[in-house]
Amino acid sequence: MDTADYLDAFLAETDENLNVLSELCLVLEQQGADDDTFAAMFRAAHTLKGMSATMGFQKMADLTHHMEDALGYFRQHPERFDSAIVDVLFQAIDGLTEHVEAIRNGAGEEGIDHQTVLDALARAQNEVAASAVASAAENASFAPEMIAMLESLQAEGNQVAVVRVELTADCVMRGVRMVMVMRALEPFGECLATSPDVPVLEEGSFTGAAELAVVLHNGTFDALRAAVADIAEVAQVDIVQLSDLKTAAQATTPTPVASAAKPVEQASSEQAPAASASAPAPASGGKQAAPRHREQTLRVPVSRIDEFMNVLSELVIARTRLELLARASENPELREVSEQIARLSDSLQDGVMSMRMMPVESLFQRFPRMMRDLQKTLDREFDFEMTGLETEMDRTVMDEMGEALVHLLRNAADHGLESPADREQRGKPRKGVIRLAAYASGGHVYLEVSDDGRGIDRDKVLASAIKKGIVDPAKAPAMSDAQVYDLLFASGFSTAATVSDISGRGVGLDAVRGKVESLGGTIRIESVPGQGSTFLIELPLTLTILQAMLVRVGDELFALPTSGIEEVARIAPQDVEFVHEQPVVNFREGVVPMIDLGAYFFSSKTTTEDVWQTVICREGKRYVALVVDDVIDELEVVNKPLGKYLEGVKVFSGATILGDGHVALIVDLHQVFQLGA
Amino acid sequence: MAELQCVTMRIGDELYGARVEQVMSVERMLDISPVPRTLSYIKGVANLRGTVTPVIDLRERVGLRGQSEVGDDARRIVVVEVDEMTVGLIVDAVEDVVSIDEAAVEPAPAVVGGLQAVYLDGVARVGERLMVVLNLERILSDVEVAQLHEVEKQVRG
Repeated sequence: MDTADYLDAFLAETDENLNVLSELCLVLEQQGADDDTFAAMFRAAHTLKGMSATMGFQKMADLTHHMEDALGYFRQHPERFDSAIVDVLFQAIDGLTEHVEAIRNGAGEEGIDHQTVLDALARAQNEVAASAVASAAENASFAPEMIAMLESLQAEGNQVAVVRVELTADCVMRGVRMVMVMRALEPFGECLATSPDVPVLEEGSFTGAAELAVVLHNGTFDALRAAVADIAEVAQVDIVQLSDLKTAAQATTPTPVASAAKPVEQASSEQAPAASASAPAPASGGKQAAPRHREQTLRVPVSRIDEFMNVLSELVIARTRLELLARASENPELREVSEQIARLSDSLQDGVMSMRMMPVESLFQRFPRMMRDLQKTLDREFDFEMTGLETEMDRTVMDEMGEALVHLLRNAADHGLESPADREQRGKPRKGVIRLAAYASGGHVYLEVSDDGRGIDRDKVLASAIKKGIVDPAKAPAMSDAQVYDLLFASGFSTAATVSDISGRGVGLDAVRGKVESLGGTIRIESVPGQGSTFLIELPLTLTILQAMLVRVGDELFALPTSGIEEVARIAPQDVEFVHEQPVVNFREGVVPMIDLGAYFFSSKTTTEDVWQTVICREGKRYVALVVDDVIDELEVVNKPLGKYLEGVKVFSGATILGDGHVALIVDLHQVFQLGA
Repeated sequence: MAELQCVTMRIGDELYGARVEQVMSVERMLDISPVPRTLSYIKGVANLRGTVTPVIDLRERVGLRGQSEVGDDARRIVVVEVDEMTVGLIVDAVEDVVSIDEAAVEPAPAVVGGLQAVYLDGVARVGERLMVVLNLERILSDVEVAQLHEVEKQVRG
């Protein structure tokens, strides 16, 4: 089979499953052994094994197979589970991650050696493992809870029975046969549970008979038996009534370890404790929840959605042209069609936009693991909390934010929090808290990274800034806290006493701010000394479509994002004053600098006959009045990137194509403010 | 024998060649919106079938003196893609696609017609004339991005 076509899908799914494993591993570490968690991990490992084997990555299949074994083993023996095992599992996940990276880079799996991990996995299970896994599937039967559920179903008038299937002793592909058995059952009814579990059945790694609890919807059990018996290599099929099953189950289930898979010989000798065991621990054998209903999803490459978006933006342009034509014409029908097309393209646009949106969870999911590792490498103890995982963000924005968030989180752990000893000395709980929150509000997405650490020491920041010549010592006392905190974002500024591997190379926060601003967002810090700091990032919901005001400067049209515009004002020459040769104007009890865009863009002053046409823009508490030749219109524009070649051009965040096909540059107001500062 | 296929472009009397695999299309002169505050040879951006594409003047870029004597109607934009960058190059004319023997490309003299040697891969003879094989990677490389930063720094002081 030529597997190249499937490689992308394989890589994507592998990433997903590895993330699942990683997350669940953390859950195990925090909450201890838990059957559901093991089951979910087992499924993920099993999927990985199947996929990698299909793709011909034998070493990967081998490692996942051993992981599966280990997970199966600890699921049977939760009492043997401890945190050292989480480390081993993480080692295995890391090994797999590297492996996938190698495959992704086209290196294949030749250079990969998982022996250390395999040994660690084997040691973790110790000698008992082999026999335990083998016996797990022997003499399968259902847990009492499952039988109780089946009985209640029967009481409600459903036809319920257990189909016991035995394969021939020389059956080679036991897993395949069992899948065929399950398929054969489908037309008749629903398989509620199997013993051993479905993964074990599908893999064929069981001995003896397999049992499937079935609720009959169509036909009869006899017909069902005939259908199953028709499958090759099926030695025997029995339909066992619940009442018959129950007596057998009572004999086998309630052993102290609560494994439903105890050999019958042992069961008889343990009948005495069985009677007294009132609440048996969950047995793995019969535990198979009713089928979960999931929304169907389709995996689509992002590039395809982007292409779609491009076509759509052209549609928006064509629509605008059509609207112009319709307005100019006398034909009412044309107008009606044009309006209808406008509505349709609006909803199409909304639809595609929402496709580009993804829950932040996909970005956040790698952080818990990172934070766990940080606790180990740094002398820190903290709980890491994440909220708002369902908050949706534009995929592009999210991709761009990943590194910045990593930096802020590391910063919080390294510089924000104190060492445990320090905290105790200050009367704070030994364990700190780092929070990562996401929420959407009013066209923006907010990301917050906060810690309950030492907070920002204003004096220390100022001292450092003065030493580096960033701040004039005379002005320092008058600076507001916000202004002082802002210094942390200045390039080359780092107050960390030691430069560590984790953070504090002095390139950090200014790069974070640069990234946030390039996405059209803002970042600020709130801090209370001794109680902690919060980094608050505000980002636009989407980058691709924005409301803009079209202005003319010289012969050219430019778009100013409306989000930053406060007011359009005509200013008479007598209202303009000069401060240090810089024209200013009074606006809302403040003095606002005026920037002549004509002079700034083309070194030719804007024509001023009697009044100046200005657009007053706001950022935070600052205002600036941009002088333009004319304000044309306010409209929705599609932001198209200027491309890699013009990356260095900061004054424009992108460009848009107008209805007549002409390109108008979109002014990055934030950069304009930098200029006016 | 390795063959090199080049799109030949004319600026003034000089012949330049761009590797055919780097050339996406040849366009008639487009409506170009100037991008203020950038290098002078960056003429602006144009709408190339829905994609915003930067356009540079190849004559200025390679440092040829003088102005083009060809009217806009006759000039062409050669759209090239190099290192994920799509850029339009304004030239006086696009002539042909020629195949030359890679071995026949001679290393460039240190300075050819004002064009710094780093921007060309070599010189080859096409019929009676000499063709300069452009090194588009260099011509569009990050050096320029750095230059843009430089311009910005000057602007901000």
